[in-house]
Amino acid sequence: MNWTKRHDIALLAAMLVTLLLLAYMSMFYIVLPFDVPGWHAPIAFRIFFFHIPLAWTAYLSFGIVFVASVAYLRTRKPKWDVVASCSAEVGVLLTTLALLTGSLWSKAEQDYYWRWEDARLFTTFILWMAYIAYMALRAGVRGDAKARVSAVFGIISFVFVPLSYISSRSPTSLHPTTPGFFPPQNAVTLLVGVVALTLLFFCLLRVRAYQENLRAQLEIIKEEMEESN
Amino acid sequence: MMREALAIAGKDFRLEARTRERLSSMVIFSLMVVLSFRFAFGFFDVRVDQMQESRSIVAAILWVTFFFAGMLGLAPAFAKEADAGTINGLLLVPTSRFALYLGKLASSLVFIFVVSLSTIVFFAVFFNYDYSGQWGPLIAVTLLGTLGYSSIGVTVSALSASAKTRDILLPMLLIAVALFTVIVPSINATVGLLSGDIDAVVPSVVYVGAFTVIALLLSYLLFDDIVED
Repeated sequence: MNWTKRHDIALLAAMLVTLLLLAYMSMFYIVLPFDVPGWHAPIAFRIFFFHIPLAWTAYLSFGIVFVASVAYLRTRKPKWDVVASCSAEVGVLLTTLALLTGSLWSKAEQDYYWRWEDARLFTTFILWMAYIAYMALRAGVRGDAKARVSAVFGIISFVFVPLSYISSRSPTSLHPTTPGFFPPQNAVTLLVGVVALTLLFFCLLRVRAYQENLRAQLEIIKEEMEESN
Repeated sequence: MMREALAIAGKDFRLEARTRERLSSMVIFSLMVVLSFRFAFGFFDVRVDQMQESRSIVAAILWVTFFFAGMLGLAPAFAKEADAGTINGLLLVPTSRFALYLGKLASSLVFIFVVSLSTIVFFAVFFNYDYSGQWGPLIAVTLLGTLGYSSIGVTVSALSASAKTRDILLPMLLIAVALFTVIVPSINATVGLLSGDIDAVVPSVVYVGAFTVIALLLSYLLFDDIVED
């Protein structure tokens, strides 16, 4: 089965529908923890239905960078390099949004934006920096080495994904862990959020990969024109 | 393989003995950093009452200096070979590429460790500090930390050697991959040993050791792809 324009439209439509559904459900459907003691800002609770899916899709995108980098080093097919680099860019965007939404919630609930002692925050910050460094590496290396070198770094920086994930269990972390405080009814909304953001991620990945392929085609056309002159 | 690695390290030492470029610039740099801290702290005395805070300051100054002086040691490991074209000669050595990594690891480790020892002495002199008499454990932690730092640093140095922007790229990559994994736990271990608290030292040392093993493993798996011609 070939991926056609119709599939793109279907993906886009599914993404828009689930995103609207998530917006509706996070506003009107969820149960806010008004009655639970220890919650200072129940209204700010809504941001979790964006924060958790953002963090999950960020991990997913870096997982795709890892898999595509391994595939590139194995096969040396340029398409894997495109997948890895585009996924890393979208992943940095998603991590940025996850860090921002988390800070906003933390300010509302705990009255501070950021704690460096918190292992979860710190490791996620390092994860974010590692993939910004990945993008800097891509910008700095020219020619044939670019895809190879960035694939290697894409594999190395994946070390920080499990580290960031398990760090919320560290004793110095005040970051909440998911199961404890979620009323069961909210699990459906969270699921919709995860689906919506995953679809959004794949849409963005498609757009970026499409641009990259166009750019590669343009390079080939330019070379051909120079040769014919 | 070990024989080839030792030959490559021996070549670096012979080159250093003749030119004295790398080690001397690193030692002078570490002296300047320690002096800068001395003047920046003015009349602050790290030996006085607030002992726990002072120990954190001592450990942080030491490891930040090791980190930056180490960058000067790691940068030329592959960049010089690439500039002089001698990297092609090294790649022609009929052995696994991992031997090249091990050779460069050995030479970089020796340079960084020697500079770290001189930093420890500079700090003792300018801050009139005796490290609570814990010289042995301090040197052991320094050796482990610099081993972990070099094991990932040599790989990152090889990655960035072919980039045009390598002067800024190498610090960026090192901060992303070495700061949290090696430098921060080493600082914690140093604080622990300065206060004679072995329980605080062990987990940090295990963490650095585990990461060093991961870095060696990743380098073993990926080094072929980094220095391809």
